[in-house]
Amino acid sequence: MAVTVGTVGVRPREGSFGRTFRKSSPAYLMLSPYLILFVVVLAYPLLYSIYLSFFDATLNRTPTFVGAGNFIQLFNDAEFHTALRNTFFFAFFVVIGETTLPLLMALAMNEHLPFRTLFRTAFFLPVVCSWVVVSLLWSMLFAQQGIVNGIIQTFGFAPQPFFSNGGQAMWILIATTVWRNLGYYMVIYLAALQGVPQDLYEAASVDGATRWRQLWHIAVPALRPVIYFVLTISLITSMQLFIQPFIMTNGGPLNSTISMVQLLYRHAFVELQFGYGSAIATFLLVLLVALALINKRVHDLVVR
Amino acid sequence: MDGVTIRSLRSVDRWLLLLFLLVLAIVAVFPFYWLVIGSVMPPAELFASVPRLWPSEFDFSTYRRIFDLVPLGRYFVNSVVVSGLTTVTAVVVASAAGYCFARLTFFGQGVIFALILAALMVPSQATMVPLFVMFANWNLLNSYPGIILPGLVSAFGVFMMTQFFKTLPAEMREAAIVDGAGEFRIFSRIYMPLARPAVATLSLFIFMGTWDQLLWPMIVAPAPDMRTLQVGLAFIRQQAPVTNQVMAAIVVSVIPVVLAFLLTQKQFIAGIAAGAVKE
Repeated sequence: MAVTVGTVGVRPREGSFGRTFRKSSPAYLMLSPYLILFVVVLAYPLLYSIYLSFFDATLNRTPTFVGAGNFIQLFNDAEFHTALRNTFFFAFFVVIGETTLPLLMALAMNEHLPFRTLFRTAFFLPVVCSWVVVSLLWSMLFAQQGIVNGIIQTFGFAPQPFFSNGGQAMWILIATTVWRNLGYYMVIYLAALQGVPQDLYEAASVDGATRWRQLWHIAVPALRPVIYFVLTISLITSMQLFIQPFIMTNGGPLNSTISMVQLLYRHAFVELQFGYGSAIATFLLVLLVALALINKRVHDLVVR
Repeated sequence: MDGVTIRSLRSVDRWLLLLFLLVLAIVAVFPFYWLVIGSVMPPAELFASVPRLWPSEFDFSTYRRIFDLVPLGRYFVNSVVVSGLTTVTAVVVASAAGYCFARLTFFGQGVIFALILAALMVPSQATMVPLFVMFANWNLLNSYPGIILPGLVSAFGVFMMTQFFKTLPAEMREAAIVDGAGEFRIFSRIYMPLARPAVATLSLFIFMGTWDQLLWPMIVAPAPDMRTLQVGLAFIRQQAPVTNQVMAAIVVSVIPVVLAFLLTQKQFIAGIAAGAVKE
């Protein structure tokens, strides 16, 4: 932790505990707003949520203890299986899209091509729009009579069902998500690319390596930590999928796009089953913490 | 290595890359073009079986109508109040904490910092049920404090500010102590002004995150006059059922954000990239 040099001047000797405590008091004073908030709106509710997941609870009624009942019900809940499968399917393809495509874009943008500023603005436009806006926009693009079907028909193809077909609806959610984040991850990659030392390229040029080989053998390996970072962020945020299906499909058709958080929302805040909702929240917490820990292990292996 | 030029791509490859970027840029921008054009198209043309990319006549009546149908102004004000207050408070509180961890020593320092780092892993949904129950008991439903409070604890903010304050020389604090300044004075008068770049990045990060939120504000403040912009837009079809009305509402709601972005583009993108890489 931080190293501090002892305060100047002579002080009367006192016990080590008293000294630590006196030295601590200004720190606690400045830390207290954060710590109080941390306990009240984060730590306490988190523990309370885990506690509630062992109860049958709803508004204005004393909760009754049900032991592992909520979790047993959860693991036998076909709807939960569907939500879990959907969320993983979504996360898998979003992560692939969000780690690779922006990397290619950043490599291209790094080549001093014309109109770079213009391209960057274009790619960043979706990023500044909220998820609600992006979801509404894409639900209109792919509406039954929307512009995409219009274009498809102009080229002589049959109109597609899009949101009334489960498989297609899921792919539209994935495309929407990747589309909105392209510019964001591209900028992150680009910032990292500009940190790759130029003399590495120079040395490779002397050795006769073509530009493609330089990019593949120098730039991409140098970006490994950033690629890993993008992958992590993309994975964690994808697992918390909510807004896109909430706005675009409402989880349908036939639950084919329902996500875990959406199920949590329905049980906890539409049907007011606080116990069962908390069980889903606890499951999500355990899953995400596990993913983060696995991630850290893999990170240490891959990056170092 | 003097005089060595880095090989660049052959011109065919350059053209291919340019084409690749161009296609993606069109994909990125076309939906916005269609959004704006669609909002001023007569509805019959918007749904024509042969898609139109230019209206036969501009019809701005939707923009007048949308403000009668949806209280967009109210939603917007709610969002500005919520995001603004959250940002200012969360940044100040997290900076003070970051200063303590970076420059002071105190009892329990390591444990508390580890707990805050662990909180980075906690998804916001994991605390929502108890928060809703607590806030219902405290009469905070449909109020600004109800929407704002959970957003004030930024574990990432503490982490980022701690890292930043560690890069500033410790000698400044020691000199100020000799001059008789207290810790709070040192923090607010010496360290905080030097932290402007980090504060700007963190503010942008928190503001964008809060502005974007849907789930929590929707749960805690569903009353029509307390809806934030995102909540209002999420339920817009109940008030404005026609597609070009939805389009107009989106255009209106997005204009301030896009303008802010376009005017500060360079700093904006740099801030986003810096915030992300420090994460």
